[in-house]
Amino acid sequence: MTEIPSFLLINNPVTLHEVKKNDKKFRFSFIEQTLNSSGKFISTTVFQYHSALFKGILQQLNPVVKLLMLLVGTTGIALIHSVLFQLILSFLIFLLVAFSKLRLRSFYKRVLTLVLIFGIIPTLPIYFNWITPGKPALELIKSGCSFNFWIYHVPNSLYISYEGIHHALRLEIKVLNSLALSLLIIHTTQFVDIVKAASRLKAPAIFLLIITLSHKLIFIFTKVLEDSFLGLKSRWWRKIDENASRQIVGNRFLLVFNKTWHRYDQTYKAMIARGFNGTIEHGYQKQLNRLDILFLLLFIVVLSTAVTISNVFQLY
Amino acid sequence: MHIPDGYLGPKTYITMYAIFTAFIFVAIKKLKKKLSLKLIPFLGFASAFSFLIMMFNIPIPGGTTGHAVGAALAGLVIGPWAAMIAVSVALIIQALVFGDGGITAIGANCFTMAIVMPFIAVWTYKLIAGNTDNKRRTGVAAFFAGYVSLNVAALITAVLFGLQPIISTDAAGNPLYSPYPLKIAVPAMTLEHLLLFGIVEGIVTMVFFQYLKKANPELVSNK
Repeated sequence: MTEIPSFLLINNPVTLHEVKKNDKKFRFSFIEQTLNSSGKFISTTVFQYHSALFKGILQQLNPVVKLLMLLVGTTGIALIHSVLFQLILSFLIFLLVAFSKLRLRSFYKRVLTLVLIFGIIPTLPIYFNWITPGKPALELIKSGCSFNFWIYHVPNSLYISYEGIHHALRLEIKVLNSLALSLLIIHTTQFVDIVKAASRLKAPAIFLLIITLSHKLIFIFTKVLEDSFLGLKSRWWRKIDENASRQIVGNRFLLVFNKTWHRYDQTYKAMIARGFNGTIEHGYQKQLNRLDILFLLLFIVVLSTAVTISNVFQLY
Repeated sequence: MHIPDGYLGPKTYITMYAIFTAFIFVAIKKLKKKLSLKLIPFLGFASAFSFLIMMFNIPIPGGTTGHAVGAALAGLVIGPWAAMIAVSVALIIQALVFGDGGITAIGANCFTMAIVMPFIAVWTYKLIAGNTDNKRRTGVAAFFAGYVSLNVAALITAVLFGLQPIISTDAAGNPLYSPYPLKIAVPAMTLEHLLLFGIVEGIVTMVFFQYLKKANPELVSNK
């Protein structure tokens, strides 16, 4: 089993921090927020690296199979319009998460956070009869007349409609399943293996090399960014005015930019020194075995059956 | 502005994938002529830079913070064709690492944020700044480059959403994907970008562009 590099293990979680002075709270929000963004990238990368090494069912599969599952799966989920079939898929994905030995609570906490942002909040207006007219499920306001509010026509009776609930749920559960499947594949496959699998599926080699290089560099420079902001945070204790804060952010930005620019030239020279001549190879790749093929076929059969039945019998 | 899975139907996302792939091939071909072997490390660093822009949170009046897409700034600094690849790679990594933006929607997200934004930004900048090196004028030009490009990208995203109830419905005429028609999707999406997110993008583009111009004038003088 590959060891996790030691420098990845010394990253402490960054917490939001408030300073009180004369009963007034000062939040170094832009520093904290930037630290949170960089910390999130590092912790996610480390977590994925670690969870991809668990001895679960999906971790045993060839990355090519998992990448195909991701592509076929997200397409299939978009094509199934039956809420019941989507619920069955949710259960199957849940089983895959459990058999992949991922921590269910933290996995679904992340999935549901993303579902809230991308699935639930944007679909809230669909529940109401001003967007989806239909049979009333819950009456909210009954006024004497209808009126126009900005881009909406609000009818004289405002209620949540059964049709609205159905449409909103259908969209929300599609987002839930797509996200759960995507995160499941991402958490059970190392990033470098996803790229290798994409190269076997004939994705442009030059594009994949750029992705690989960029992913490594983002990690390095995120660490630079985090260290820089942590240093700043440890030195600062008073409220920062807007001009000063923009100056600070600008300086940090310039630091990162100069470091990336400088490193680009060094990397190019290092690549040439090691004999790079433009030929791109993505290293050793595992061959597909019987289990891989069987699993992929089973996945495709289940999904295509669901798509076919849902569409042929128009189950919405 | 990241479109998740489930909001776009196959007719839309397959078309957007095809358009995105065509643009990427053209971009690689164009850049290969200029950069040859330096292309790979250059674009790798440009992508990392583009990704990092999205991590910087800046204070916004009112006590909150915001971050930009950074595609306008990338377009102004490294040129629109290089920015196209750099921002696309950053968006693909975001989708694969964070689940931010759908897998089926990668083509559409890259089209709006990695293709449309850098080009609109560069054209807007050139239109306002012309050949001048005046600090105030280039600052204003950079602000509008960010502001206009983000709003155009938001408008295209809104149109993609708004087209779904027209092109993808069930037998009863109910929408199968994004349910908001154009008359709702376009004003809802564009208004928030015109009044808030566009301004954040404009400020970030202006502040960082001025910084780079001051510190590395030779890098941005010809853009």
